[in-house]
Amino acid sequence: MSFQLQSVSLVHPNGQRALSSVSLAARRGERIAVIGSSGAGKTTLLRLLASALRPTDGRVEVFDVRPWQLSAGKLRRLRSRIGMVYQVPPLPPRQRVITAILAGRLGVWPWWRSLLSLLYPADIAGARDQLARLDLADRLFDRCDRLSGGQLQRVGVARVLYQKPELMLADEPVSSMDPALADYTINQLVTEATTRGVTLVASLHAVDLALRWFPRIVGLKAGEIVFDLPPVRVTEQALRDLYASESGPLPLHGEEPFVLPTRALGRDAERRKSSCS
Amino acid sequence: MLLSATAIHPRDPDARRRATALVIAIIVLWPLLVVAQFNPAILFDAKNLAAMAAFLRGFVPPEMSAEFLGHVVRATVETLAIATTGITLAFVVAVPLALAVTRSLSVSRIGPGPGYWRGTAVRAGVRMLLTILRGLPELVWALVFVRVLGLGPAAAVLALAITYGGMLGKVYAEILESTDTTPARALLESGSRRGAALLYGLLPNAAPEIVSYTVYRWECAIRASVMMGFVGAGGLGQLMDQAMKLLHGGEAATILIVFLLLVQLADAISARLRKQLA
Amino acid sequence: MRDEAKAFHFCLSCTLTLVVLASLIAASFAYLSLGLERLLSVAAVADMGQFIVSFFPPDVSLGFLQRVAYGAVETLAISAVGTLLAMMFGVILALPASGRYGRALRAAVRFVLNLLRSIPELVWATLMVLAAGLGPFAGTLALGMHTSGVLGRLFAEALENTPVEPSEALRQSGATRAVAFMYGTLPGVLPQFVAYALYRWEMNIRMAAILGFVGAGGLGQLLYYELSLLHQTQVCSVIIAMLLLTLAVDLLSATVRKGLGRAYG
Repeated sequence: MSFQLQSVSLVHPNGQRALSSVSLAARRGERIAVIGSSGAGKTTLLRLLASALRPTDGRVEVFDVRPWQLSAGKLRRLRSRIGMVYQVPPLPPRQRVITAILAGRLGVWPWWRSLLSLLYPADIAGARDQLARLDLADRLFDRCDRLSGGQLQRVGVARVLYQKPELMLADEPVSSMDPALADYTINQLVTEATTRGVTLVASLHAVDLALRWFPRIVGLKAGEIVFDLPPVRVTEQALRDLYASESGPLPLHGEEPFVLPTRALGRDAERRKSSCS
Repeated sequence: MLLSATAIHPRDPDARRRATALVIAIIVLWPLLVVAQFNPAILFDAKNLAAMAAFLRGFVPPEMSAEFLGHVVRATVETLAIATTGITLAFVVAVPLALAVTRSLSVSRIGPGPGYWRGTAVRAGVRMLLTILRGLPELVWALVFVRVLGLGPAAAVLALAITYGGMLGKVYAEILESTDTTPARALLESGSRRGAALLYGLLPNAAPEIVSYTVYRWECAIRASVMMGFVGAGGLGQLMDQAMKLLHGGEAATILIVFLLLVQLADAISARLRKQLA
Repeated sequence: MRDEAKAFHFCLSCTLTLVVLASLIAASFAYLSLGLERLLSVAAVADMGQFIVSFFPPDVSLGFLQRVAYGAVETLAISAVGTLLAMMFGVILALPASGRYGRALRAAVRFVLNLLRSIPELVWATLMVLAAGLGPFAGTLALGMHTSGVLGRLFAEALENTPVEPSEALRQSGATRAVAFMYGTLPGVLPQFVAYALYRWEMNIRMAAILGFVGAGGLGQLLYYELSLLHQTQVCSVIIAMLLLTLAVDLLSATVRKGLGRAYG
């Protein structure tokens, strides 16, 4: 089994209940789309699978082991087999795309190779190949802050492709892309999963993308799984119930709000006051 | 989808620039290390280790005898007095210079008139004077004055008056220029004298900042006074210099503690004063 | 009329504070009994004038200029190596001081940084002369110790204000803490670190020049020596060299900062 969640609940430190008694399992090679309205718990579910969050209740197994019972070293090695595509790619603005992509294998490289790669990139060809799959190869040596939101998301995807993990998790990976590009990118993720026979779990806000590319749709509402079906059996009514909190028509790609990074980068106030000269 | 044409084995375009920078850095750093006589091994040389150890051993316990503490208290009071008188004289020096340099009180800049070039020249001259006053560290002035006036606080006070006068003058001028100048300009344009324009137009808004900076400089003056003591200009610094030359670790420790406390005290007083007066 | 009212609006406590201040200032003058008035007498002014004139023209003989030039290079070296050392130790100390390894260690290291900062460079220099002997190495160490405290604190604050997402994401994919720091955090804070260090270098060059007064090498030691022999014209040359050196370093630092600024967009 790639992962197995049994009656997992998660309550945030501030008392907010993110997941309630969620049970979900996947064999190796499965492709699952998690859909639901904002705040339904999709990100929490993915972070739980990534073993970034501890459940408050229930049992989590990834690759047939319980991650929170592992030693630090073993947990680190487990995590290197899991790749996460973030909705807002966590890339330092001044870092170059090539370094950002190569960072995908930092969990596997020995320390000296990681350090040397900072001086001269260790595997330019490999990084470029992955970037080429997302049609961005000409930006290989650009700085991340020169890219648009959609391009940054593609770099995030390229990083996970370069990592070659056994479990790919994607948290709204195409939210900043136009419909054609989004479709193309999901295609790349799905192709990677089928070619290497690895598991892919993607949370998507756009229902049409989910129904088109994934053979298993999991609907999440208020932290609970309301259905777990193949696309043909997902009814219009079920979808309406899922997105009942959102007014208006069902979310299709291109109608969702752009997500902007909310964290303000630190200000560097020059501390003249600390000296007397 | 278009695939751009790239080389089979693309190379990092930044690599050459980074390598060059590294080579230049090494070429520059090596002679600097030699000139600075950088040699960590010296720290472990037997003679130096012995001297350092003997001195540090003397640190604990710090010298607490009543007689010595009396010296320390007198020296502290002297340091405070040096800083206060120094800042006061610096203020006296700074005010006329700042008024001469600031463009906010310039009548000639408001419109065409005979004084334009003269005004600019005067301002440029005074600005250069301020730079010269500020240019040398106060310790250099103190050293020279000690030769002329002998050991004691007078050298420190004069050094402070000169250097801090230059610093205060420059900052006062900047403050006067950065506060809202419209009331002052209005007064100047309606023909009032510069003094009135200053008092009624600029000062009300600029005063808090001026006071705040002066009190901050007083804090710095205390530290500078201690430093100048090391070249014989009185105060805590001279006491500490003597203690260290005689390798009296305990005395040095006491003075150091007192100095750190003094700095904290000055910081607290300064914060309080700034809140009060601003 | 509002301006007039503002000009005369004093609260009672302010007036009281001013009165106390004025009396303290007067007391300070009295305590020191400086006798500065005697400096204003005609004879004193004439003496002062003669003294100032004795400094000019500055000695520009080749032999002495060579010594001055070497002193300037030594001062530059002291300030540069000292600042570099401080950068290294500053980064090392900033890591625990930013709270990455717990609150207890953060408090302890911050205390050490404060101690390093609070002890003035000149005091450090006298200490380092004991540890390393007379000469520029003592000055380098003194600047290194003091500036480590300053830079360590600035670096720690920069680290605390930098976003954690990049390094956390890397740890999430299995990187060790150290590697995640180098790839995720450092790229963000390095420009700030370098800017702070360059700014500190401008201040350290002024300090390096005067540390020589206590035997820590450079132009300061030359000045002290010549002044004690009452060689005024030589002293004048050294002072001019100090001014020029400070100017040069200010310009260099500003140029480097502008260049880096462009590179960092």
